[in-house]
Amino acid sequence: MGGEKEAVLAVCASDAGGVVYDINTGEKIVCIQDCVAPPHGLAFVDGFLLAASRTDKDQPIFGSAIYFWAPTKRKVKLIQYRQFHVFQFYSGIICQIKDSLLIFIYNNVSPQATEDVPEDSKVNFSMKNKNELLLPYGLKGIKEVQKSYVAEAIEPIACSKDGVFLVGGARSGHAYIWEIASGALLKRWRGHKTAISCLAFSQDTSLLISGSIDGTVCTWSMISLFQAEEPRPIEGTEIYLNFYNVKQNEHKASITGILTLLRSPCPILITSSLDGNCKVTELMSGILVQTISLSSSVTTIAVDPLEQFLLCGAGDAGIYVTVLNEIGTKNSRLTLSEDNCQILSGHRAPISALAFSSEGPRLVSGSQDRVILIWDTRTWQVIRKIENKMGGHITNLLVIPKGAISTVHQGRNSLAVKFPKLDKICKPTNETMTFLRPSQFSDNPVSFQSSNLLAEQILDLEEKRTPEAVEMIIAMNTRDKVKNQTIAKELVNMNMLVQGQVFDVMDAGADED
Amino acid sequence: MAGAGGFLAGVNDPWLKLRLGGGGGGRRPKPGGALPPAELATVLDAVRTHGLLTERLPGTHDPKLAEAWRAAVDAWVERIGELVQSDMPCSRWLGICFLGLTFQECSNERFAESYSNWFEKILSNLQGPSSEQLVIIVSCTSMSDLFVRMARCLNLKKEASSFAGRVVEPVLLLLNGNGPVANEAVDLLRTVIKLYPSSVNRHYNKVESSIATNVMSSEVNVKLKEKFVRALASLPSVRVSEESWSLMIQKILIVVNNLLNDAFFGLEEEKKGHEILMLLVPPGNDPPPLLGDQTKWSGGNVHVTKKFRVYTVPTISALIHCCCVMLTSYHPVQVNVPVRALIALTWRVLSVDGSLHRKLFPSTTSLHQELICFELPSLHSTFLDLLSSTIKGMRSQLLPHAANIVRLITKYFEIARLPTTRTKAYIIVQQLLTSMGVGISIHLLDAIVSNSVADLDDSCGQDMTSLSTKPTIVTNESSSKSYSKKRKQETDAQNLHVSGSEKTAISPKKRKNSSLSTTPETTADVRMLTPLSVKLAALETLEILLNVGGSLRTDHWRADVDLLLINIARSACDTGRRYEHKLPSTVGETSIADFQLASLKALLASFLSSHTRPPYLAQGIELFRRGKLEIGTKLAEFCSHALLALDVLTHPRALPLECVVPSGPGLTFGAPEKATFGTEKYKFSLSGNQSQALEDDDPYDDWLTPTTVGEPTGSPAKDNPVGKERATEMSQGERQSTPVGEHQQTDTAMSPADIQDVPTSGKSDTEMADVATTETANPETKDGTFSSNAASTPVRTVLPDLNQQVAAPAFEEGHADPVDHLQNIPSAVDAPLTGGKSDDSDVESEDSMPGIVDGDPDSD
Repeated sequence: MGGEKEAVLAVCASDAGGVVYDINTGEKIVCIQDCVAPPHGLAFVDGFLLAASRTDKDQPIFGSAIYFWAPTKRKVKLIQYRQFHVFQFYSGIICQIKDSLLIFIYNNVSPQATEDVPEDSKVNFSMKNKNELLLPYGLKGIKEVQKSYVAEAIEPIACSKDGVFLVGGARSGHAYIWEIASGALLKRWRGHKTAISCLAFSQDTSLLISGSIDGTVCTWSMISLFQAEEPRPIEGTEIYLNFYNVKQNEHKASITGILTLLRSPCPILITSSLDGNCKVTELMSGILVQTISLSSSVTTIAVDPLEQFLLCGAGDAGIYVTVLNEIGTKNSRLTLSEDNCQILSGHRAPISALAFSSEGPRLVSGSQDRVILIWDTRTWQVIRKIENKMGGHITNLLVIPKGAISTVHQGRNSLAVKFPKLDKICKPTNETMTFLRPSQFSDNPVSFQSSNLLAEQILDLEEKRTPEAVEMIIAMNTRDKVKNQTIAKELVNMNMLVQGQVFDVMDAGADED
Repeated sequence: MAGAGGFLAGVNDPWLKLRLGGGGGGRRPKPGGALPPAELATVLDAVRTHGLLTERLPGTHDPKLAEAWRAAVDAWVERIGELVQSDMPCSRWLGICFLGLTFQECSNERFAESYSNWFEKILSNLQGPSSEQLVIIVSCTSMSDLFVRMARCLNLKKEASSFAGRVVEPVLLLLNGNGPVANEAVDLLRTVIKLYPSSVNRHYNKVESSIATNVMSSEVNVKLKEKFVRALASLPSVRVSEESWSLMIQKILIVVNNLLNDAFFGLEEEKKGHEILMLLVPPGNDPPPLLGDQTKWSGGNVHVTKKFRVYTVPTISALIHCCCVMLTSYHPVQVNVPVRALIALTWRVLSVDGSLHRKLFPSTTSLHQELICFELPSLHSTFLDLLSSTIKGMRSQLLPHAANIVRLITKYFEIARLPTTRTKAYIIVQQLLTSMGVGISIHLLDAIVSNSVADLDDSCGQDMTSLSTKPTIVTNESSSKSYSKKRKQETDAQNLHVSGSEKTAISPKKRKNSSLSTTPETTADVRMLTPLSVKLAALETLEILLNVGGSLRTDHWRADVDLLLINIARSACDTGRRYEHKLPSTVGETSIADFQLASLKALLASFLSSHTRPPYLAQGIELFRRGKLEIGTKLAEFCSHALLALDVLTHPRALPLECVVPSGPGLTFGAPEKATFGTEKYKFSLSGNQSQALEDDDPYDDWLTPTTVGEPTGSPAKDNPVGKERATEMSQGERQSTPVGEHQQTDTAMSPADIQDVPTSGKSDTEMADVATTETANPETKDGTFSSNAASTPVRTVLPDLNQQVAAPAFEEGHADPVDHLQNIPSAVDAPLTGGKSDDSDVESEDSMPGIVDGDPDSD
């Protein structure tokens, strides 16, 4: 189960920063100092990077910044293990530590207090000498590794599914798109008249959807986006239709959530707004399929991994659940009200974030009163309740693999990890940094050739096909010929000898006669 | 368990191996004794099949056996050692060959014992000045195998590296010879580069220049050149740095660009080459050193025309191929890909169509132009490969440049006329669609549809074009077509002679069939207009387009394409069956079987991506059913997959949701009365039997009824999912919804009646003729009913009043006594000819019913 190995990252709007919890036990795994983000301002990039934009510390001179977070290594320390108190005995190779404290055993000391040590704090250590250990110590953690200054304060950010592009939206309505690998700012354009509140990529990265606080939603084709010279949205050039304004289903208030579903006949776009509506439209045609109207504002939306349910977190602290797979069938209605929805209530303040675990058995919800609930989606029961004591209300929830926080990336190659600085200005580049690793399946591994070659050459020899084979045969034949010649010579000699003897005998006979 | 002397336990008895090995002692190659090649083949086969050298004992450990086996292998190894050191070339050859085999087979312990000994033996043969070619060849291969084996032993890494370092120099000497020796030598070099790149580092420049010289030499044959190209492409991995890769591709592109400057002189703007050079080497940067040894391959004093053909074009092809390999193979570190230069270079070549540039240069001769036009297809093809590799290598990072590529490929379709280049252009479009998804399909849609329809159309004739011109009023079109068909039917029934004026109105298929009876050759001629390979590529492109962007602006193109695809699939399957013996697949071309498969794949995509109910579903399923019977072919395999995939359409099912929302007492749910979920039909409660709840729902309604319009308020069918009763109920529903259709004729959403109309027209296009012209012994009841019904159903859509009149009695009948139709079937063959429409229209409605499609009437 993938869900077993996942953790929740909760990030707040102000102060203290983010906390990583275990999704099953609700235990706090690690705190991330100072990791603060506005709503939609958190992205998990390519399994190793957390980028959060923050606006609370705006420095007018520098503009704003996008922060990069990454797990940091533990330090390694040489420890003489006599110094340490011993709690618990484990196998010879794995020992456990907690808070830099080595838990180890002598054979002659009886084990004492058994503490619950989190699974992942088991570490490998290596014996240096008889009484010494090389041991990683210190809490592993996620630290800010780099910050990139950008032209203006970026609020929502989104990252493409393959981790190639990062897009950010500013209060001015400008949108920025970077290539993460190189940090190059590929495009800056005016997306909306008002502040951009939400951004999302389509599942195949070919479309970008943006929503603003005035309720407009735009779909951008990535291809024409890069091509257009003007840094503002173009409502359909002669060549390319690149801009769909989803007008007939315009929202009246700020967009709070954008989701895309890869439905088989046509992809689906779901947008939610503070005006209390959640609209389901066909992504390509913009046809409105369903509207879910709630009496209170929709603050966040989520869809489970199987795309069966749509969950709307509302301002009245309820989570409204509707079934998605009826859309397009006779049973679906154009508009649904909250009477048609199942309500999950457990929060006491407006819902601010929702997240599913990757395989769907867990739902995590966060509210503005700093409470995080973990639900079991099979029974829809709350299985854990976490009160996040530090910080303000929860703005972002992410479910990330546990490995991402415990293993330090060595980079994707032998060279050091590079955290690219995001460019502040857009400049055309001739080259694109990329990883070439497409041929994992097509590339033939080197293999043994001899036996095939031998089989082939045997055939060659039999049929005298190639000059080399002929050469070999000649060599063999020459040898045979030499051999035969010597034999022949010997035979001749013997013959002569015998003949001589015969003659001798005959002569002798004649003499006798 | 068999003993050493007794009988064996069976083929798996390990003693067998020993006896073969020991008994094979007689057959074991001896020094001096020249074994006939056939005998050698037996030895080789025995060793490989029985694993005689593995020394791996299965199951229980038997020390006696192990000891005996070890002794046998010892003897084998010793014998081979003697052979290798023999002074006879034949024995040496044999010894080295079997040594290579030993590397592959022998146990780890044995290998670790004697690998260095073996290495020296092979190396001495490799370097031997007077060795026969065959000996050198096998030495290279055996050496390569030695490295492969060493790479599997992790603890031998250091030794292997040093060995590899020693091998490089002798191999470089061998590279300069042509023929099989260089062939195996370059293989060995590639193995070394791949497995132990660091050991080549010392000789980097020498290796690069030697390979590059060979790549650009005009004396090296194509197959060998390919190997050199791969070696050159793998060379950057020797120096693990970001620059090595970029430097290599930069060098290559500069050489190519310069060659193109000469080639395209006078055929393009003068500055183009310079612009690309600026992209490759930005102003202010130093140009990289030249690739390889440029003096050797400058072509010498060959005549300029010959030089172009013998040197310039093959060199460009080889170098670009090298770029392709570099772009699509793994590289350990991040690299800088000069995307803009790559695309600009591709633009440059693909935009040359052989016509002279406006400003005529005095030096441009007609001969030069002729030469270029002769070689242009191969150049285009090469650079299309480059484009394809760029797409593969860059993936979504190519998005910023995608607009350029879209323009390029759209433009290129206009000049691509030759089958090879056109096929490649299609393949590039496919790759673009796959890698960039729905976003790029917006831009490519028009180009794909217009081009592929044009390519596929010729086999389907004029009727298609009349449909494609006004796609939005397809129902009217089809109805008018059916009108003519109705007349046609009657005329056909009376006399099979078709007058010339009417001939234009009949469907191409029909026409083909009718002409078939007299002149079968004409069909073949029509088919040859566009080569099968191009059609195949066009079909595959359409398939991917449907998968990726099937819901895009559907009103513009889907109707045409769906109709086209069903027609093609039908004609392909028919042709395949009838003409397989007459038209064997053209040599070296795409076979008709591939084409059939592609047409069915595209058809499936058309069904599955359909927004509404697919109009030609019944005909398609019939094709898939027939295809499924061709057991043992790929076609049958695919058809069974297709039927599986389509089952959801024919037998719609509402799968229970995976997660149930219960409203248990102890939970934190709000108002318990709100525990209903979605619509009222899905009741989620702890006590409620969910499957029961779902059964109550009629899933069929979900499918047939469109989302926004024409919701029949009538009662859905209840609890009887099998048989005709439901079908009759559906026909009720159909009737109810017909008035809705009247008011909303302009709406794109189809009422069930419409949906069923369209297939009949399409079906009757082709099947009619079958019945009319080909004498089928087996009465195809289904076909007959279909074609007859075609006459009546379109009337419904265009003239609703008439529709009511005509259709209603039919449905009444069906409602009253469904069994009747089964009894009618034997006479149904005559039905199309006599025009018995009212009798069979309801049979048709049954046929497109999901529950009945696999029913008895058409199962045979």
